[in-house]
Amino acid sequence: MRKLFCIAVAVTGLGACAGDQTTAPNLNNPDVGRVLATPGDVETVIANSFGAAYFAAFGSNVSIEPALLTMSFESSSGLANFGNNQRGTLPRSSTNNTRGNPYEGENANVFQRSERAARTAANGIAKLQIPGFTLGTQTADLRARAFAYFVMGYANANVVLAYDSTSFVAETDTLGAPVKPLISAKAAMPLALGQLDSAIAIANRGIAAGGFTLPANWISGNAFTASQFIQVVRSYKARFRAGVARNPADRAAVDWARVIADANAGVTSDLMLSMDPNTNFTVADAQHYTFDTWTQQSPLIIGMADSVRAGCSAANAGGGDCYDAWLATPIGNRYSFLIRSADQRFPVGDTRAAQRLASGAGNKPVPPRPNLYFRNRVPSDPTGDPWTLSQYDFDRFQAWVNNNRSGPYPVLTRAELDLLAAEGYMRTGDFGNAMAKINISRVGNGKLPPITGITSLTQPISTTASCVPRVPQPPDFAHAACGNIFEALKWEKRMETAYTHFGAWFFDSRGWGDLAKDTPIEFPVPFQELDVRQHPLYSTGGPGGNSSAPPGSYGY
Amino acid sequence: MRKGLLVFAVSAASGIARAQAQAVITGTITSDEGRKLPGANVYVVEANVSVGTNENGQYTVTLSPARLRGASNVTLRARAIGFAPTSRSVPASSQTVNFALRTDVNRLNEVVVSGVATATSQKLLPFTVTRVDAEALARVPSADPLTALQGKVPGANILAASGRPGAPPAVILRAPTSISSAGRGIAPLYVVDGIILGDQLPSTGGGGLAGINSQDIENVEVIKGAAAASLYGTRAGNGVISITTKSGKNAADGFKVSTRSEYGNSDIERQFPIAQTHALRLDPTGTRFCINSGTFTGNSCARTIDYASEALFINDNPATFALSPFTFPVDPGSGIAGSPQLRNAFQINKWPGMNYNAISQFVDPKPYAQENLQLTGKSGPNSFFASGSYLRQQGAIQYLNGFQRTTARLNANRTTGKWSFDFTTAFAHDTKDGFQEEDGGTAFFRLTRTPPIVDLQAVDTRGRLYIRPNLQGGGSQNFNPLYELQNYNQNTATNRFTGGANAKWRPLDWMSLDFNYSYDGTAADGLYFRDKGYRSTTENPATAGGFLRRQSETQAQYNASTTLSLTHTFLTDLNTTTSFRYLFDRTDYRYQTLSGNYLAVVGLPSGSNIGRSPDNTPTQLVGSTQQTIRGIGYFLDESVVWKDRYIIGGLVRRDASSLFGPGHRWSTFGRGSVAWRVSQEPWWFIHALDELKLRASVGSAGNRPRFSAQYETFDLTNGQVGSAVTLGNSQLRPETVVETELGVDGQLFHKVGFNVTSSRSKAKDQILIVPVASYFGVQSQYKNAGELDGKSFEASVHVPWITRKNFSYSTNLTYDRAKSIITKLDVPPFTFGSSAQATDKLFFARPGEVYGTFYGRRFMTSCGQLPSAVAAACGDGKDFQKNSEGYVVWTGAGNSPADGITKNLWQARLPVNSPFFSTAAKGDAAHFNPGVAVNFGTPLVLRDSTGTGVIVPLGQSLPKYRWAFGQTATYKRLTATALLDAAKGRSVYNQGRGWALLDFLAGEDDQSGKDVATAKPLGYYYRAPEAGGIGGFYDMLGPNSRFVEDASYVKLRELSVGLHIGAFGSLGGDWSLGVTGRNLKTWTKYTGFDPEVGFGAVAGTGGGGASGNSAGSAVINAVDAFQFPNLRTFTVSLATTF
Repeated sequence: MRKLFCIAVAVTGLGACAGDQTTAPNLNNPDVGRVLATPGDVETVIANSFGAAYFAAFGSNVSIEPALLTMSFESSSGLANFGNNQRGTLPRSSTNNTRGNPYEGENANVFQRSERAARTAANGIAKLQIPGFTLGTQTADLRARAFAYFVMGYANANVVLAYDSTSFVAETDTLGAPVKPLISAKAAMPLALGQLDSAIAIANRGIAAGGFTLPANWISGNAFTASQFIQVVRSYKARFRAGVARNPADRAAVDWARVIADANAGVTSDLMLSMDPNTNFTVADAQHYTFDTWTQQSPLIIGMADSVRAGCSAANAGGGDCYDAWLATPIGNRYSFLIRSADQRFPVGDTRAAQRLASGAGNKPVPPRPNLYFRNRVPSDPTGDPWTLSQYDFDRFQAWVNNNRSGPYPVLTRAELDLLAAEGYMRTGDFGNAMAKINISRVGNGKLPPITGITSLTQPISTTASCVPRVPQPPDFAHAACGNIFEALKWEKRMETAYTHFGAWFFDSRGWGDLAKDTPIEFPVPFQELDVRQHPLYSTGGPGGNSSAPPGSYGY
Repeated sequence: MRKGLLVFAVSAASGIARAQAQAVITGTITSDEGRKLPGANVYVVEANVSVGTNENGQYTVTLSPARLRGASNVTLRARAIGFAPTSRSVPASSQTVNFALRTDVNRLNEVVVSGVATATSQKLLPFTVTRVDAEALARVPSADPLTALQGKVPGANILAASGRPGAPPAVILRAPTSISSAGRGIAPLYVVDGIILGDQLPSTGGGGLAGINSQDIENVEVIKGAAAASLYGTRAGNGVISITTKSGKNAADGFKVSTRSEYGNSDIERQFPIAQTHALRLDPTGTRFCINSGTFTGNSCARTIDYASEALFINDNPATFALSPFTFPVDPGSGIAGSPQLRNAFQINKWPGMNYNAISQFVDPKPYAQENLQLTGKSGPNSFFASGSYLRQQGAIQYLNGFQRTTARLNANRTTGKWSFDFTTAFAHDTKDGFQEEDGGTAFFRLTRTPPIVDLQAVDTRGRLYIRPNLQGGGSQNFNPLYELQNYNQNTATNRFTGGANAKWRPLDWMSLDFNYSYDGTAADGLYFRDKGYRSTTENPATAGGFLRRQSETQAQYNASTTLSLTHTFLTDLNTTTSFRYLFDRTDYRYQTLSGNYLAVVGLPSGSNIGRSPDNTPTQLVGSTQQTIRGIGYFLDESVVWKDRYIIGGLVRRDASSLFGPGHRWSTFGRGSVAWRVSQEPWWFIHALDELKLRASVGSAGNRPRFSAQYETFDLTNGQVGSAVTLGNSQLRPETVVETELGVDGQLFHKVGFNVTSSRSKAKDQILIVPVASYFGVQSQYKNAGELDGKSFEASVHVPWITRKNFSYSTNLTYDRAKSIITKLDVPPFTFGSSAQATDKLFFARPGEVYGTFYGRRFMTSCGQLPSAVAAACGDGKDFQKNSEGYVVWTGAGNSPADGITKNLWQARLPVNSPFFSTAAKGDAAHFNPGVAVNFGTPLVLRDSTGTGVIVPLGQSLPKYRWAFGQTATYKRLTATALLDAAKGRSVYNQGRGWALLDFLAGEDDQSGKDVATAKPLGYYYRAPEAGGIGGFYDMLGPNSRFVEDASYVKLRELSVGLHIGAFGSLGGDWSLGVTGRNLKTWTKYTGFDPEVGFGAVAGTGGGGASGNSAGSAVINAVDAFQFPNLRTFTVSLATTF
């Protein structure tokens, strides 16, 4: 019995040891309580939220950014990766929003990641609103709140630019069932702009309270004062307010006076983010223009620079090496050709070899001059439809690429703001100011003759053969002619914003009516979000589809 | 007690047999046909003494008066594996007692210990526990115990998805029970000598059963479903594989030494079909290649190169990269200057100059060796088994060293009076390399990008392997795979210690207490090292700066239990067994990693060597994970047997696990089972059917979530808090698998043994990763949200056709099939798959879906697949016809698919004035191509009305059925065995073949020898540039009907011939010689290396990203994505016993 007693003790002891053995904390991933445990943590979370929001739209290839590149002719590509080819092919097809579609991650990521980043900022605001909680000083509180509102507005606005509706993140959301309804893009952009206005208002309170400076890592590499921060916010307001338009009518109806005001009050020089491939501050587009086999410049757009041998179409259709001949060739038989341009952003030379030499030494040369944006590539042209083949790669940021994609990279240029203001001036009849704004980059970077004397949109900017841009002409779009001031503005905007931000060409092109027929002008709410809400799935674009673009200004 | 232990220790260590006097009973045990049976066992009931027979079937048992305790008669029970036991009562005096045992055809007298609270013979078992004995495993000893079970256990789908030495196979028992296994795997629970093993280590491929020497195994018991596995609670929903290693308990008194040496060679049986021709332009001599030059790059032949000279030139660059080669017109990798060329070029040119076989250069048959030493000793109540082994399986790939393993084991036992003790300890150390080459590994990918003109083994003037032997476009994918294998060290080393102690105390005849404590500890280190100066195809300072990653994983699994068992016989023949067990378990897991590049100096794989990038940024990255899982549980098991023919069992188990939130940690599982041995009824009249047992069992077991599922989680990397990942769910419950199993065990004419089992399972509360509305700011949440119903059928027949003294012949036939269907889903349908590129959407989860069904795009093969109005224009002589490969293509009326060359139609497109042409609107019955262009003669993707290629079922990753056929023949001293193993109706997505089309390197690109009617241009196989890829088979990254292939196969899995030599002259011993072959021959229509393939080859790693649902087993992820092919091995062995 003594043994039995010992056994009983042993069993009991075992049970006692194991009695509270069913609790094991997670020591790997924090929850929101840990993430926002201290004032310093709250500040860090808010500071990092811009990186997440930036990455969501422009940091990753697994997004709709590659599709926006090819849909807007900012790039063309024969690769299936990320929908490059599928979205860029003519005739355009629908976005395919079915479950299991090959690009479901790409279609959803901007939507989901942006809203996650916005929620992170909103969590920070919610914490800051707890009575008695402070980061230590009033200006620190105001700085963090202003920045969090900026991130929310920025992230929400990027979703609104690209998708027809949004789940929209507000700091006042109550999380839980029932799930709040989707908001249309048209209704949501004012809300996003309102969040940016809140950021400005709070920053102004910060200035009144003595001012603050953003730590340099909040907007990677930029230690902005409160006033400079407001300039950044206003710059984005100008971009978003104009870019949300889905078609020319919407674009015309934009409150251009406010765009002009924000653009003129925006950043005074390019907003450069310090990029590091190991952080959120990366550039998805770099992949596209870095690799020969990934992309090439679309001749439809860059061909407008072909000014030296203008008018060669009739004689050389089907084989001549100029834009007019290219336009006169049936689309299925087009080919790459040499662009000889007065625009100095292209390499100079009458032969490919000469232009190769002018592009700089090596396969991926650092531009030999700051205003050389394109290079004549090593003749290993990638796959593509005949109408996408070109000899040109984008080269403007090659030095940055060669530096392991590290260092400052422009994500919002002063030229973009000038040209937003120019569009506002033009649309409000102020051609003088419009010309002045356009000529800043046209003359400064393109070394093109300034535009002068324009008083209407019916006037060509020049009567000389070497005019840039030379634009395909209706009704058959088989030849080009010198464009008007609007085309000159569009040319400048494309040259100066290429590969600088999310949908750089796309959002403008849809408002200008330049997208090819049946291009989706916006993306549907990703099916993952529709599923959560038990909504029916739908897609956009394609022949007869929802949100399909009408025939474009350039004949596609 | 203490003294007893001392005696035990001394005697076990010395191995000296002690002789005793008094009654000495000797004898011989033979089979009923007269063969002497070594390893048989005689048990003297009254004395509680057990002895084994020697090599001649002889035994000796010495009984002291103290043991006999005055008994005048003793009962001797004789038994041997594979034979029916028998007993005899004899006077308690010295004498000779011989036994002749009858063959137990259906092994119903075997005792199983898994799934039951107390050891139970098969004939009294009301559910299935399949047992495989050492005899079956020893014929062809496997490096891994699991692969040794292939073809031997019906219902066990064991897929050696990777041939990398040391890679464990994927295992699914019966039908799958989890829709999604992200982060947790769906492997069974592994138990060795009662030690519950930890899960597979995910980052290094350690763990599993790779540390178990298969020659140490006494038997393996496989519990295939929840009906039998309920004893193991929340961890056993996928079944249990329980291994018992050898011991000295049943040995004859004395000391025995056995050795076995095996040497041989491994290679790869099959080849991957690579095109032997090209479509590049040659100069008029046919020896020099035209290169792009000038403006019109596509048509120029103004400059030419000699391939070999150019290859030497670009690779001889003294820097860390190759120079850029010239590009070729119609160069598959660097780009095609427009589709016209694609549709006007035919791949028929033989490569000039010397040609090579890349696979032969890549494959390098290497040695296979096993050395095994076993010591068995018994002295009275003490016994032991000790072993040491060394395995060297170098594989068959250049520059890889494969798998080396050293093991040591000591099992010791002592049985005295009311106590018995079992101790087991085992240690294994192994190293393996090539781990990162698994699952889409880059070297195997690049191997499929190597045309015959490329010499992978070429070296430059500095003696370095070419870095870019393939001059065509494609950049880094033309990197020499051999260079990577030569210069990228990817090695893991694993140490594993398992130990267990079991004490059994039987204070009363009807009561016993068991105490068990066990430990399984595994520590693995991974090294991934590219030294400074590592070369690349183009300049890449980061790559040239070198790379180092070190990672270490440790896992410790602790189990302890106490079991109280009560037995009683009521009346005269109602036997009851009641068991109560209390247990707890704990698993601690730790993982650390350090990585970085820009190494400071060459040759040092030290973390201190990691440097800074050119902009002075530190490149060191560190990370760690730790987690603890705790569980407690108890169960009550009751077994009732009446008259040896009515069997009733019941079990209730309560489990708690830390993997669930407070209030949801406890779960209840249970089992009810009955069996009826009909043939034991007095009225039984079918005498030919001498054994018939009907059985039914219903039981439940569980599957657990991954560690983090209950917690809200944010990303945390390099000191940066990222976005929220999961919302956390503290309400989560285990997946509960409820299985009903019905079966029949029988025996005919004492000759034919058979087992038939049918089971149905319902896996409720599926643990799925469910998205939440985006504004919540998290990616997903784990939820219980579905049901997966499984159905399986398995049967086996064993027939010892001939059982004569000098000649015997027996066969084993097994058959099984299994299927799971998603019957309920409480969330919207979703897709899932594996983590290889474009395979993450292979499967659909939705109600009614047959689990494992592949999805992808389909090329039309019948006119009926065209829109209705278009179908009328399909047929001979019409606009649409079937081509020579059976695809429906557009030809235009009056043409045929054979007219492409003769009428120069390959470049024709469906004209815009065709009644079938549509660009303006959605498709309808008359337009099949909304929004897409159509080329002559090229296959048409099945599309919906918007022009989008529809996703349709293409195949099934789970085979329709499997069978295995084993034969054993013995003639005098010669024994031969063969095992054929087959899977029928399984599909595999041959991604490697599909992707090779991108570079015109798939075998089907080769058009040489074809006539003008059947030859196809490049564009037929390549992807056409039109939207969605009309024409061309490589039209998207994911699967399509061309590359989802029937991967049914029959394999000659094992073949062995052994010669029993016996004593070898004055050397003595008991020698035998054997010749063994493994994976010798595969019969299949599958075109890849091996139809036995799957992605996520390392079992239990989840097979998918952490943020999404995925199928975590290569059995399900039937994707051939550049895996190691399985090895074919020939060996010769020599074994002896002293």
